[in-house]
Amino acid sequence: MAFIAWIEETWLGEVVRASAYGYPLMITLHSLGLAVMVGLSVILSLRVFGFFSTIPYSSLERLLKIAWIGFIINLISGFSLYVANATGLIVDPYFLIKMGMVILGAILVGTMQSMINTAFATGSQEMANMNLKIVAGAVIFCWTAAMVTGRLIAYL
Amino acid sequence: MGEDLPGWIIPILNWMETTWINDLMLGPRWSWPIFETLHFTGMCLLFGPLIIMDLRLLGFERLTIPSAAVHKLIPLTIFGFGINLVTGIGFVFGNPYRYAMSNMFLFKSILILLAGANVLYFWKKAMPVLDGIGPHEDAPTSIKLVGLTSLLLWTGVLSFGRLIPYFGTG
Repeated sequence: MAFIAWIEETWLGEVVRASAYGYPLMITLHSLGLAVMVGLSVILSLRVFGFFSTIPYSSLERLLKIAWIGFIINLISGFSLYVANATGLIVDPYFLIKMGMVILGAILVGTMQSMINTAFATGSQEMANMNLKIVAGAVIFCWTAAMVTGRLIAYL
Repeated sequence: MGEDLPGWIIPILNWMETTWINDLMLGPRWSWPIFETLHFTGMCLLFGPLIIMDLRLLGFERLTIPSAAVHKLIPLTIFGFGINLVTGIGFVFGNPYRYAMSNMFLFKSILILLAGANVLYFWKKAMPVLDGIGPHEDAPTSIKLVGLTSLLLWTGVLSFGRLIPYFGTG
């Protein structure tokens, strides 16, 4: 806990907490990163379920690299927002659930992309096998859960 | 409250406060957070397809995606916009004076109208041009600008929207 309290007292915590622009800037970047990461990875998930089938998997997967720019924006902005209220958030169950869902969601998006790439490397046409569909469904579940719990942090 | 607002808007704001939408938003404790979560969901469904369509228009993955293929994403982006229009109306009716006095909400609304005009321009002017060239041909610069404008306008809509609680509120 001493470490968490120290994080909160760093200049970053102070700037985000107390300056007029720190918190609004970080929270706006956080929404932008969310729209990019979740928006794009949900489309790849829907593609796995058979939507937009005229868009080739490989092209969509390459565009998905932009999703990770969104994710990095959110790692940075999210860390800044966390530092501003480190001791309060670390004991907030909704924050902890959200973090779990974000980590799991990111791992699943990476898994989905590599499964698609592997299927292409071996020349397989069986793109949307059951395993891939389960991963795609789990991606949508994790992002929805992360968004709901993330909103609840502001209310409870 | 609302001293700086033009007189004609006051009866409209007062009327909004008497509607069932206002009751719904302010009555049950969970209305506002549920609407907000839906607003974020709609935002993601609006943005994902938008990024792919605009980047394709700018020439990304031009050789592998036919230009018409990304138009399959239009219903999803309209669905996302629809969710946000409905939930957005909920917020405005729930707290009309706050939004009427918010500069950020004013900027956001103007950018939404400009983005709408951009969509109309795309539909009327850009689509016929795209139909006239091959599915993998590079679009002329004037058409590419429509995609760039769309990305910038919607990024502005998102940013001003997120800043409503922080700046320029009465």
